[in-house]
Amino acid sequence: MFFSLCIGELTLRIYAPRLGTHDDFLRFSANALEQGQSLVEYGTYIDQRDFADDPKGRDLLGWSRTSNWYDDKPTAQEKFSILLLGDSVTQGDGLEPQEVYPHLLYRKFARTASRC
Amino acid sequence: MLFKGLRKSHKHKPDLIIFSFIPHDLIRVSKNFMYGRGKPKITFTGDTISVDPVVNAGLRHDSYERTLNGSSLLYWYLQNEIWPNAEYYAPELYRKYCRKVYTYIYEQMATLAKERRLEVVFVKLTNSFEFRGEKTLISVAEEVFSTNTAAGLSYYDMDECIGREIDLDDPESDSMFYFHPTAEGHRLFAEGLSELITSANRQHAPQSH
Repeated sequence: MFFSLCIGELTLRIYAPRLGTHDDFLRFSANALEQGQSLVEYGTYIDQRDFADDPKGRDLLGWSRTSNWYDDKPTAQEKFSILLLGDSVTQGDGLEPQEVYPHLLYRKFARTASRC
Repeated sequence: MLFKGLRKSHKHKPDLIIFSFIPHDLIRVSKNFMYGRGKPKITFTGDTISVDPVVNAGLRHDSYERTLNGSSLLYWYLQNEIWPNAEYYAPELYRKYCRKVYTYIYEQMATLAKERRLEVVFVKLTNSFEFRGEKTLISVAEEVFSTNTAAGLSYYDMDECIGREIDLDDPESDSMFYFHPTAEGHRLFAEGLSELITSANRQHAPQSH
């Protein structure tokens, strides 16, 4: 049993630097260092920064990326609004903003509405 | 995504909510820490539903650093990563948990749809990235989101629409939809959603051509 635990610990020590947890830690540490803060101070700082206007949001959201907002002056008789919820796929990571489907969808409807 | 959606919809009062997800998101609901930050996790004790407080990122990274410099890393992983996220690491064993979470999401959206008189469509976006227990969880989610027990809620599988345009078994389409889709993949999503939005049921939606 003790031997198995030692093997497990040793394996993890070797592989830990390749795991996502370690990458996250390195990124977080670099940001904390840049701010001249300890890890705990930086954690508190980003929570306060991100949820300054919405303290309850911290426990409900943890963190979230900025929403994109597409709007035009409504030219159609009736305005119709759509809320698109998604993750990094919907945000279009790795693509130009104009290539992402929420933007394409918006352009499609905005063009049509202006023809009505 | 659920909590953000609930807050945003109260603020912006949309007519239609498109709740889009990729299959991999079905497993991520059971994780309390992602991309270096804490996230809420829904837990169940009998019939009681609660949302676990978000883990403080600074405290977690600090404890990881201290562990790297001396204590047992195996114990740290078990205590902070594996045990609190068992449903994430072994989804096949926690199908019941996943069903409960998807049902909770469905019910929250149903309440919102009723209160705000809006429509919600759950959209499974096409994606070729595979994760552990994928087949099981997709079928559970489909079953929950397409029950049609609540007014104003529906489910749409983007594969059906995209499958009419391209061969989804083709290796080229596989790379087009691998995790983060390419620009062409996004164009197909936009086409599919435009078709969905302007379908006959949505009389007031903007008409696209």
